[in-house]
Amino acid sequence: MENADIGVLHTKKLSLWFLITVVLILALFATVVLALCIGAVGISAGEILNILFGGDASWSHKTIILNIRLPRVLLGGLVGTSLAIAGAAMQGLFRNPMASPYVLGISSGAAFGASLSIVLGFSLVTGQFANPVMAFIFAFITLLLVYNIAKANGRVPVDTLLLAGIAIAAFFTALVSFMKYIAGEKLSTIVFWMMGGLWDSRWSFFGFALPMVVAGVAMILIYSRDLNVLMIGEEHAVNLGVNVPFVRNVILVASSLVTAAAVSVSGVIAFVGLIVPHMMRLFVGPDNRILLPVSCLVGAMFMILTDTLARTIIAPEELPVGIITALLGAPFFLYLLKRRKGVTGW
Amino acid sequence: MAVVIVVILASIIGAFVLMSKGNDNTTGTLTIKDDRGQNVTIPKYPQRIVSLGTSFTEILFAIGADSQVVGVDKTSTYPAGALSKTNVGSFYTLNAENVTALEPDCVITWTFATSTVSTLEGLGIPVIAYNPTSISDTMRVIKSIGNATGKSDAANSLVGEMQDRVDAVIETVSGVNQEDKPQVYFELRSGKTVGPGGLADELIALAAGVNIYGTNVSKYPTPSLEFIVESNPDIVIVENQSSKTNADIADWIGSGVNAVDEGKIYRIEGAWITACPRVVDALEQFAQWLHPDLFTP
Repeated sequence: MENADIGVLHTKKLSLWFLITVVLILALFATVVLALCIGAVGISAGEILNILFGGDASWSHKTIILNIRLPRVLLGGLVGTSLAIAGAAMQGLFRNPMASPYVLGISSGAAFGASLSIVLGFSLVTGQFANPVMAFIFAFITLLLVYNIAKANGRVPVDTLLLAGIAIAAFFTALVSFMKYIAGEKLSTIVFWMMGGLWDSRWSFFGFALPMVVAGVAMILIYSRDLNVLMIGEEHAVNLGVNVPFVRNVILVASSLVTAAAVSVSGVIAFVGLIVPHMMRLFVGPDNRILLPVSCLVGAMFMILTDTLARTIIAPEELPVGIITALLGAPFFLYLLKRRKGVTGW
Repeated sequence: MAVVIVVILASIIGAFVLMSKGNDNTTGTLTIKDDRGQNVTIPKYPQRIVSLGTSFTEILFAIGADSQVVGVDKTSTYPAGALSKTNVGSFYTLNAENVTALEPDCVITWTFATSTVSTLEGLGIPVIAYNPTSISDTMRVIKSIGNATGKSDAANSLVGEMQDRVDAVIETVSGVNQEDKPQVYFELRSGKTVGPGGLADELIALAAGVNIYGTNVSKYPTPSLEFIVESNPDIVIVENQSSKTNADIADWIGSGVNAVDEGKIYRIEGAWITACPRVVDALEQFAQWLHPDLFTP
């Protein structure tokens, strides 16, 4: 093969990436529209379009579309984006394919915070944000704990972070078990919160999560190239001019921010953050500059589609969306793996 | 950055504007104070009630307000008429679409379903939240629901009837001395028992029994076999919906314990031990088991 000009290859690659991103954005848009048309209550597509553009309809249909389905679909997209990009970032940072957004124990800490609010009514705010705020705060307490435990001689080796995360997660999980024990009739509330789901979605939660997710995603995307370099190894990265401690901290904080935002409004939805990055790696490769953006977009679509299934498959009841993400995601991922075995590494 | 702020603010303002559009109501209104201490304004009288909780559904049917009910949750299976109402799913993980589609003018549910309550109120639907934990609470809630639905007469007469029956039981066991009160072990279908503050605990006390888990424990403690054996209960009552058979329980507790030796292991319908009119049936049943000499079945 002739030596192709590196500049030409580079431009081709960027154009391909641009194309992929545009296609995925359009697909995401289509997914949102589709999800709005499907629900526990049947409403025709024509009426939905009418309502979206401010037309007149019955109070119940307007409320369902504008105040129930729309915030739910958008929040689902936000949660899917957060978990997917946090998962990809964690997998890159820890150089470990089993890493997920919850690898530092954030989900267990958030669950404990939420259980304090649910069982003991203890929260910094009252009203609808009582649970989310506590979950969010404890997610960050967890991050601080894990970070400080792993810190030694001014350095924070990622392996120690991982182990500290496992230990702290186990600690908070035990505390949550105790809260479940004393919960009385509130036990179901905690259990369902932890299973994760979007039945509680509302515009206020979307407004709460949106700025944080946007900020966190932006921070991670900006440092996606540095994350690529970090994946070779921290010493090599330093030699190549990457400010390793700074980049590592930014990635940790940004991932925790988006994960905490997602978990505080939707509980602990498992599997999305682990699987979506792997799925996308099979298609676009491990380069974070493309992997992270497409993980965001596909994560959003994945969450919206699985949630649509969760809220319609046994209507009028709801299935916790984590069950669907696992049952569908795992076999689909295995299928992809088998088909493309050996094409790219993990 | 400014664009982002504008978009976010617009979406939040838009949400509030849309939320404030409630149903049009040209009839009068009334205000009910619920167990959260909140004053809830409902139409006088609501004709499209959604009941989330089997206790409330039973009460609504018992006072003759069932024609005003349009939707119930999935646990509301009694009386038979409740099954013909629209099922909106579980009230813990409620899909608000189902409730909204019924265009309710009032929702009645439990105070501890906090996210369901705030979601529905956020959509402009009035929610009355109760938390009855005793027989007297149950009667109070029946009266309150009677006021809310325009069935005060039926509610008052139901409560009067319930109170008479409760009084009759208390009267009959009033002569029982403390040392003659049987020790009772009660088990829920989940395997847990009921401590102070629980409804079953109150029933045992009113029926002149002693709940072996009646003091110094949480509301739903997990029982310890050693403690049960040491307390030597005379009567064991288990929720009928428990997967354990009477034989399983007898094996588990073991012979040497009074209840097992005398074969006094009884089953009670779980649906009777909630805050509903049939709780008085449960009380009478308990009394008859605990003091068969005083009550003719």
